[in-house]
Amino acid sequence: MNIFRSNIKRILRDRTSLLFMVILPVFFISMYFVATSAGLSGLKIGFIDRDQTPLSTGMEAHLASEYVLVEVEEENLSAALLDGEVDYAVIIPEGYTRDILEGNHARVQGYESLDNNVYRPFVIYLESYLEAIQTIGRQSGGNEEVFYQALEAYEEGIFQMTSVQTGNSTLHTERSMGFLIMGILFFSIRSTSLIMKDKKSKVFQRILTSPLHLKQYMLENILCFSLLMLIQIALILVVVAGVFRLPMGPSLINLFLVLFLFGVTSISLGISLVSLGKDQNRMATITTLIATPMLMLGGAFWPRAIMPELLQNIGRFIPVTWAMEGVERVLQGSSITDLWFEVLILIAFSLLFFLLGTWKKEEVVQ
Amino acid sequence: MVLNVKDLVKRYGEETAIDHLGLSIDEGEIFGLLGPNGAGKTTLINSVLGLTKTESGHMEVLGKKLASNGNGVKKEIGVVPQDLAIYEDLTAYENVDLFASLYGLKGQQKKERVEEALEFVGLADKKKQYPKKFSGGMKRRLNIAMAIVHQPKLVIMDEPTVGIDPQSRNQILESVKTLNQRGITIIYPSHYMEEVEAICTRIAIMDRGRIIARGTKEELKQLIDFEEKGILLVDRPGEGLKTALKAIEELNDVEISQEGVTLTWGKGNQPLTRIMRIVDEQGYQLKGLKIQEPNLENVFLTLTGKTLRD
Ligand SMILES: Nc1ncnc2c1ncn2[C@@H]1O[C@H](COP(=O)(O)OP(=O)(O)OP(=O)(O)O)[C@@H](O)[C@H]1O
Ligand SMILES: [Mg+2]
Repeated sequence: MNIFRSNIKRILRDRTSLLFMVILPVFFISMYFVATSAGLSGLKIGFIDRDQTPLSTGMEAHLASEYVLVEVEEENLSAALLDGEVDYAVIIPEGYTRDILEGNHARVQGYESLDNNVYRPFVIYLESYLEAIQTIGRQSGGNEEVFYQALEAYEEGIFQMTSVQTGNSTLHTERSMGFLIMGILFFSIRSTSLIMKDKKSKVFQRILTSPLHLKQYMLENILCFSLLMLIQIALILVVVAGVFRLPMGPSLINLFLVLFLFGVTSISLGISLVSLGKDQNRMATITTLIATPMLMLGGAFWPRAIMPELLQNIGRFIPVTWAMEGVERVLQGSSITDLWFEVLILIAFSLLFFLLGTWKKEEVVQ
Repeated sequence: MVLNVKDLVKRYGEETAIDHLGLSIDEGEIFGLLGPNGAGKTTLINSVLGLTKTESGHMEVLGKKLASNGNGVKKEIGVVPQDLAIYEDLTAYENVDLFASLYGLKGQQKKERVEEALEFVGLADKKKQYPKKFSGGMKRRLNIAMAIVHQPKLVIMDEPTVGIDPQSRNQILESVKTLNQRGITIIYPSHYMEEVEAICTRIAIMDRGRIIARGTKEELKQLIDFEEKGILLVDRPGEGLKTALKAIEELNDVEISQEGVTLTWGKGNQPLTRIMRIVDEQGYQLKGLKIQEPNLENVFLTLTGKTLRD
């Protein structure tokens, strides 16, 4: 573990690379999460309450705490939507509260301005909120007192409810996860530039004249970068879930495990790219050329389902796909053992890339 | 035998860098590999170390093939690469220490060997510093310390004195001799004739991927024993003088050089009086005639028709 140890030493010493390789990625990715969710609160929401119960007024207050509520009369609603005075309107119909308390399926009406999709995250947010209300209603068995107490508890610790939420509640998080996956992919590959540095300073060639095997050298490097990645992902999750309290699904540990495994896969990919690229510039070009289509096909930028079948099938051969899949399932409450297939595939990709990167090079000197 | 290479061929595309080269080196030598830039010295070393693929050939280091028996042998070799290969972001001590570890040294023994190696190259007092701040000579010395810390049987030093001050160079040359006195075989590729002549016990002259001559200094010089060289010291020699001198049939070669006119003649065939007469006839003032001792430069020049440095 000599290479591992000395690499850690070198990284800790180099303040700028520490900043660029560890601190900034954590900062940017966390900020992205926070910014995209903060962006939701800039929406102008119209709220029309036909029910006029403690529940519906409570809902208005709840939405008002997160979003800008705009006064709007029902007659002017379509004009307001068209003019962009309102981005999205919610109408609570009469009898809504009664339906909730009776455990019936209760519906609210939503209106959206057609040429505007900024309300998508809001809809997801709203849906999860409504679903929570529905669930609480069903569970309180028609007892109004119990219902309002439970609702209050829910409002106070809204994110603790995420575990009973299913389906769409973390949809918005899933999209942001694409960004996190992208961050992990790029920064993992970037971390392997330390090997590039060794090649440039010729220490790499020198090490290969020593008894140390190329595979061992690469393995120790992978361990070193993985440790960095582990710290980074942990920090990001602590910031977004702990500090900013964004919904991260029922199990943060499982999410962490999937992301970390993908990090290791990306580092292995980086190792195999390093053996191709002759210098840092070439390496940067190759990284972009390889990573971008991977992220597109893997569903990190948009849901895979919207792509033609051919592209979806190609996507199966890309680790990003399986990482996204794993992340989505974890967010929806799957345990890590449910994900054995995704996990296995990511491990297989790591091994494949590692072997590609350490295939016995006959030409060590350029 | 420390090194045994037979019929080695290495091509870079169309270019043949090593051309059916054969070479064997015995234990205990400081073996100079003398050749101009691009002769293929480094390529030969890289081939032997398995850092580059070769077209054909048979190579043994310390009696073993490196390919199949790599690690046992690698422990016995120390390599000082032509290009500096040091971690700029580790201190001198850490650089040497890392390589000591890679060669399997541990604990107290490692510590002692690292200190010893740094002491040996004269960097003991700089061990806590980063090589970033080192002079060229200090970096070269660190480069050496990293290769000898594990006390190998064979040290390959590829042009370890390139681009450094005379003082550091002398120090390095002295240390090469000291290592050799401790029983370490040294392979010393270089294009500095003076260095090779000063320290090497045996020399191979290399050009265009081939060994064109080998032996001790004396043996090599005997190769050109049939010729003698002299420099005619005159002020601003002209073409007229050169043409007139060329008419002397005993002279094999006449070249105008910075100092004067370089003349080559067959051994024992020195046409001194005729030379002096022609100088006089051409209206030059003869300031002297320097007879040149044969040196490796002349050997190289005679064998290849080129100078070692261009
Ligand atoms: N990676 C390479 N690609 C193409 N040609 C190469 C490569 N390395 C060396 N050569 C060629 O092989 C020949 C031998 O080069 P080499 O570096 O072995 O010479 P050398 O004797 O070590 O010279 P120097 O004194 O400059 O170190 C040269 O003509 C060089 O141009
Ligand atoms: Mg060379």
